[in-house]
Amino acid sequence: MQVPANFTQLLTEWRSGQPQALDRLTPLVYDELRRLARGYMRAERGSHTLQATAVVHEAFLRLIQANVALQDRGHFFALASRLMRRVLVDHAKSRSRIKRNAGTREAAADGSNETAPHFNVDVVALDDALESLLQLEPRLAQVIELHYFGGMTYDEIAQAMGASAATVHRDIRLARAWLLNEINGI
Amino acid sequence: MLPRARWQKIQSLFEELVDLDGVERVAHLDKACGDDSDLRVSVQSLLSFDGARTDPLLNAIGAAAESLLEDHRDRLIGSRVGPYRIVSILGHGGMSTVYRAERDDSQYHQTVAIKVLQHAAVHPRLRSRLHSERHILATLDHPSIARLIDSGELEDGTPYLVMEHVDGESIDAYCDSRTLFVRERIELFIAVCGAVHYAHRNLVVHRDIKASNIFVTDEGTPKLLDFGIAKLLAPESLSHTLPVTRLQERILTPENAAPEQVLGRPITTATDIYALGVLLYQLLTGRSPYRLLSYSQLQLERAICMDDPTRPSQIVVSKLKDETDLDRSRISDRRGLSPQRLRARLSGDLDAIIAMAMRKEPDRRYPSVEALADDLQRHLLGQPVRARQGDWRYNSAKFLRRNLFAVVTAAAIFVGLVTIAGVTLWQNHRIGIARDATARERDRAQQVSAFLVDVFSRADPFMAQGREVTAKDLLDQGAEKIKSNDTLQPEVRAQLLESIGLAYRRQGLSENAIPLFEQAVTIRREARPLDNRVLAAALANLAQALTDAGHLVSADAYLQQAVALSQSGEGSQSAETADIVFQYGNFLLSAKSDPDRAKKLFDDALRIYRNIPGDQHLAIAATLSALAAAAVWSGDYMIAEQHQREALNLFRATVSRNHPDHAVALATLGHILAQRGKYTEAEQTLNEALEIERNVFGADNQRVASIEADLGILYQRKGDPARAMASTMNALKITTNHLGANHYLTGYFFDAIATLDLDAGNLSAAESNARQALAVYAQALPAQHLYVAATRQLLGEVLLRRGQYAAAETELRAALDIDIALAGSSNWRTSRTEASLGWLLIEENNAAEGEPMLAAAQKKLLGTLGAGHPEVMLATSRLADYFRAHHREADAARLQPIAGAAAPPLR
Repeated sequence: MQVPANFTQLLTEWRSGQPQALDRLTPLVYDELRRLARGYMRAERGSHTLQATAVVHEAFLRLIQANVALQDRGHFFALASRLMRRVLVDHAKSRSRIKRNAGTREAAADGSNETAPHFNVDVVALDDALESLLQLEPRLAQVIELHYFGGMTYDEIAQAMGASAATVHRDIRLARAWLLNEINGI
Repeated sequence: MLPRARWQKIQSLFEELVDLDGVERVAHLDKACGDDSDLRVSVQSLLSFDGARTDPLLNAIGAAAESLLEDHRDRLIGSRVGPYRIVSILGHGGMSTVYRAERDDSQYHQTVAIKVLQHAAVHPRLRSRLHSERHILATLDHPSIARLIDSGELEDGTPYLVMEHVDGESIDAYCDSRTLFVRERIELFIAVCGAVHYAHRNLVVHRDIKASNIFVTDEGTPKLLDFGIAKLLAPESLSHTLPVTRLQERILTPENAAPEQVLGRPITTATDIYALGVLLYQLLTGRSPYRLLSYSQLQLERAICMDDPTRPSQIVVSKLKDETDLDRSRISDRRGLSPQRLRARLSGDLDAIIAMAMRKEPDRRYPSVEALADDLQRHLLGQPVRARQGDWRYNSAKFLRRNLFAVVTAAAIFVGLVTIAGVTLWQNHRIGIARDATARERDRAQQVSAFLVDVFSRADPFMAQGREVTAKDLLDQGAEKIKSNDTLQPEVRAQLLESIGLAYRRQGLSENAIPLFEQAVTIRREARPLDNRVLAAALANLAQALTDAGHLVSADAYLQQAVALSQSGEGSQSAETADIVFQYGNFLLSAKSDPDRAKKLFDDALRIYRNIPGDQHLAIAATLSALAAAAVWSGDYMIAEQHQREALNLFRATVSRNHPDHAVALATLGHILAQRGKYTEAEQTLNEALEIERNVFGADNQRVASIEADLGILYQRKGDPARAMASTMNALKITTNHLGANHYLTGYFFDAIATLDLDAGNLSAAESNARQALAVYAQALPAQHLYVAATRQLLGEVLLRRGQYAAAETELRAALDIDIALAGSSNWRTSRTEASLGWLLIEENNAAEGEPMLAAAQKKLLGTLGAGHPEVMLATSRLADYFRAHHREADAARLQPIAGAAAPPLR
């Protein structure tokens, strides 16, 4: 697979505050997600959302793979997982806008499929709660981003952040409980 | 915003408490929070969100990603396709997405459904399938079939169909949501039949009729959707090429599939009649006749071919697993009846009509959809229905069970046709496959398959009119046709002879196979240029049939030729060569009782298989199993167990539970475990093997016999002589029936029964059965064979106990000669014979020779078989007796723990 060589470059530009870099990054993430999704989604059965989560994580890994030799791994991973979050949240927001305009979609006709199942947490609410957490404890917000949007394991996060895996595990438990409390409390 | 210090306090409390259990947590919390109830609530609330089984955050991200990916489908929304504007998605299946689109121009307003093929570039076959759908639909014009309006391709080349948009719900949902009575459901169903009948008259078979493919409009008109896999049933496509293409397609909806779809047989209008039967079943009962939930796919397919579904009237009063009375009455409520009333409504006519539509054999169903509809009409009018006249009492399950072997074989032959291989057991699988098929070879292969299809489609067990057709009938007809057809090319004739010969052999009809293989060998020998590999395979086939039939001398000669031919030249490292080497190893082991040479050949075969890239798992597993068998012959049961477990694991990983090789591997492991004294596991394993063999291949087959014999040994060891005798007698009976009175296995089971007689103290019966065994061996085995030695040892032991010392000594010395020659002096068989002979000599007052012989044998037996083995206990107690008789109490006492308290039960 070819991740465009300028992915790193664009990411660095985005980080240094050039918003137009995001416009050029987003299609790269989309393409990668779709390319991977073709394989995953063909089976159309079983646990959709977990498959979709796996797609996200694999796309993330592929995007950063081409750049492992990067000087500052911790920052780079943080940035890439932030990007993934941005893409998913922006899409969810624009979609709900379309939905409001177009009215609700009709039920699947052939009974073989269903519309997206209903979940008590949606990604926009999660995004808002993460913003609050960032104010309170930036470290916790970051491990959540790395773990959930980047699909990184505790060990990988520990390595990137220079902490122990046990600490990361504890942080994630705390942060998750805090976020769910926050979201459900609204 | 929370004050910093406050947050840190919450944080540290959470971490402190999160790993404590309930009681401790509360105690800690009380202590840490004191009066600060706010703090307590904050921490508790956090803790309550820890440790949920599913992770809502993960689900949130997944849902977001899913909706993003769905936009791939959504991207067409709002765009124009031809004169239509796409408005929304109606649904999507495995290969296409259906959109709702509108035409809104000066001419008129119209809503349509547009079916767009997904990933057309990835699956060119789907693309051509849609293409054919276009043509099929264009010929159909019926108020209950969704019309094709237009077709075309998107800018990127993706094909699409524009179809009549059906506003409504699927037929089952429609019936339930309106609480339609049984009569109304039947009337609606009759309307569906009208549409299917119309399609049939236009030579279109739907092939995938199911509730979700039939919509009902608000006006109550049913509409059939999705002729996605329908094929034109034009006369020219009914030729013999049909079955081959059938097998390429998997069944789309296994629960609704007809037996002929499962078996890959021709699909006809009768297939739709079956599907309509399933649909009617579902509409009337709210259940599926065969449910995927309770089955694996394989079991489901088997059930569809074998079992009659529960009668509709019965299923509405039965509860499925996890169901409550409420679930059950909900179904009858939707039909406006109580469960009991619904049952009464369905029993009789409707049970019979559905059963007739769903018969296993296509030609015993209703002759047409119209006939099915007529019968329902008659039922509604209170007139006698056709399904209950004449032969309605017929029982398809019984019919099929009787014919299972034929069905399995015929299915195997059809599968074989696709690969042009004939038969599927792994040894023979490859033989005859034209691997580097030249045009000529392909042409030949096609002739072969055309011929076989012709024979077998005519002798199809499903098409047998009122009479059972056995696999043997099929094969006899095939052989006869080859004989009478003198236009066949020699190579084609040879290949046909071999295919049918192999099929005979798999049926245990080796004598019938021999002349066919002989002719094939003759043809192969005369072929110019001579093809060594093909000739070697032909010889190996002939040798196997000869071995099975007990003609060991000529089998040996042919096998040697086959091995020499296959090892010469370029194919020496091929799988075919390994197959033949393996076969010779098997021959040496079972016919020649030469485990050492056999083991070398198995090692050779194993090395070749392992060096061949690709899937050789079955071959490797079979070879490991053979190595285990060789180790059994050498008495090395530990090694045998290792090899056999490895083999069994490979079988489990690669074939279904019902695969014959898997059952054999199980049986072998059971035998080994019994020999190792692991009786509990042995019994479980043998019984599992027995169950598979009986269910899949029938109670009366040779493998059942050998498992029964092993169980006999096991029961004897466990102290249940009555069951032991019953099992062994059954083994003998099956073997005599199948293989004849002069087959060496018949002798083997006579020996086993003589052993049981001896243990029971029934010496005259033991002698007579042992002599029977030897009489059979004299016909079937060389004089120098370990089986002969074992039975002569047994006979010697019987005679010894009857006091006929001279005759006993003759037998035991003869046995010992063979043992030493074939098994070696350290083998337990040799030691067993020496122990008997030593004791005999002592009884004959020749203790000078007898005592050291018995003592040495006892020691060797203890070393090889271990304390607790009956042979060890017998030898030891005899030695102890001798010591006691000669006042060597200390020596006797030393042996007592090994000899055991009671007299040992076995020789």
